[in-house]
Amino acid sequence: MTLTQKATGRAAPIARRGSTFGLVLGLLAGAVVFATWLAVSIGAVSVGLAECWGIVADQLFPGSVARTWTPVQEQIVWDFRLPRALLAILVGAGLAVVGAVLQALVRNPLADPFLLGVSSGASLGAVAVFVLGASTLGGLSLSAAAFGGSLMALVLVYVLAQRGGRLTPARLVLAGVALHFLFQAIYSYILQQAQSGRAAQQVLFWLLGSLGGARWEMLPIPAVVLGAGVAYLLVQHRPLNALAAGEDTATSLGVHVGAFRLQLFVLTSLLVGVMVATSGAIAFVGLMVPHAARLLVGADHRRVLPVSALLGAAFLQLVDIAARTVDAPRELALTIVTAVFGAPFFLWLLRRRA
Amino acid sequence: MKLVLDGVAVTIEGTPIVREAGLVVGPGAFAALVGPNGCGKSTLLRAVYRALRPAAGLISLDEEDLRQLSHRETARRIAVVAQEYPAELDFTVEDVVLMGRTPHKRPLSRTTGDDRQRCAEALERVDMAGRASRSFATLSGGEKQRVLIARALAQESRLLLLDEPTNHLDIRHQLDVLHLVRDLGLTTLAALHDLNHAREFADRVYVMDTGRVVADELTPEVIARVFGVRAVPRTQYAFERLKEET
Repeated sequence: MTLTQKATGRAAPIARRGSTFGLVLGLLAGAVVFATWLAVSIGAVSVGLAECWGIVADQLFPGSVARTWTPVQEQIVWDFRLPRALLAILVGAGLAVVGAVLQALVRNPLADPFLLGVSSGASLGAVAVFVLGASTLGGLSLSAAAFGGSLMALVLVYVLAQRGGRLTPARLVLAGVALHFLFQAIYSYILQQAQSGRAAQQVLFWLLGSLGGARWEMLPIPAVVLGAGVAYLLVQHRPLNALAAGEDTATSLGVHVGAFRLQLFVLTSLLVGVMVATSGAIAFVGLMVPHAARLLVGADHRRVLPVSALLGAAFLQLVDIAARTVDAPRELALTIVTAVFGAPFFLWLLRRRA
Repeated sequence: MKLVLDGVAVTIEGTPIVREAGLVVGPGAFAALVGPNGCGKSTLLRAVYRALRPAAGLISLDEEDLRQLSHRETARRIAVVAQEYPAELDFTVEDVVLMGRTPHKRPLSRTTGDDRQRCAEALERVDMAGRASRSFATLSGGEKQRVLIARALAQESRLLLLDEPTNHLDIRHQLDVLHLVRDLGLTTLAALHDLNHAREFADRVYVMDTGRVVADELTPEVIARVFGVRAVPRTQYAFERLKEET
């Protein structure tokens, strides 16, 4: 038997994993579509599943289908539920991808935007604009303030965690947790000092995550940032794998670690900033989803990133459906629902690692 | 590939760790770097694979100044087995070995059958064939070290740097790893802590002390001066014991 033949024989299990990857992607894409379909159909005014497709088709290609729905149903589906469902896809995918990148960056499977203070940095920026008014901050938009907040958080964490030119993952997480609580204290203080109690309550609800404000015009920015971000990360999947193996390892494999890490910092803070600006700070998605993705397709980021994105989208869609229906007509904040899944998952993870 | 270090100094946060290090590793030779803990062995190696920037001195590969090369070009020439295990995220053995192909790939190029073939061959050479789909984190210490050597082989560099590759291994696996590395026939520079291993396996032993390369052979005088212990080569030791007993 020649070396080539033997090698091909050994390569077999890997080829199987390749086709598993395709299957997982296909199934997850189907799950995203199905969950979105449900999300559009379910609500106080129920719209038949067939009608949902009809309304969407009619909006995209007017007159292509016979109208079997009322104008009210059409307005509810097209103006409210569909943009909300699409935003759920974008935010879920975005948070999951950020989680995957941060876990590689700090080489710690327990990292997520919350643990590194990034989410609360973004929240602080957003609260400042909400409560103090955009004018006091030089006319910053909510997204820009949230991005500024998350970037500020990441830069601070980055500087604080550095020692002797090296970045140790443990210090990164510790610095992140400390900053998280500091930012939380500052925006809580701003909220307490705010004049109007109602506004403060609105902000508080929004801080815990809500997709209730979704409108069509909110979608382009997150969509573009997410699309560009995921494309860039997929192109960089090899350096990302190398960095996840260790800083020195990455250097020895030809990765310019300093520059690459900086790019990842800017990209993740941009993603978190945009997501927080549209939907508040939704916890646990960034922590849980990349884990589930790794369990499905292994740790290689070429597979982890797209699977995380789809899984995150489907998960947040289902979470939002639950948030709207469990306590109807009132809505639950999304973090309440994600925490119901997230906290037990976190504990299971700790036990499993121990 | 020939590695030459001349007057290399490395400073970390204002503290000079390596003061003046010079050494030569000839093509295909196995050189060992020994010295007490904290003498700067790891730091010197990290400067060679460019995780640290030297404050002074010259590092050259086949008469080529390392500073003239990009990180990617450096990685095609130098492979490293550092004291760092990719065990946190659940990479498979194949994932880890495939990382060795990183400096050979453009951002948009796919992992080809050829890459996998080289990985399979590398795993075969370190006697880890058939374990490509195992989780790296679940391997034993000796197996992990073998996989990291396979990754270095898949990198197809002609210079191999090892930072204490026998750390945390039992004596049999220490010898296994050292035999394996010596038999690869690559130009090799390895930081070792066991003086007997250094003497036994290396073509030349460089001794470091407080940031300087102070000797290029292990004589009892050097060992006494650098390590502060009286030591004699094994044969001489056996001879002296024999004399005492008779």
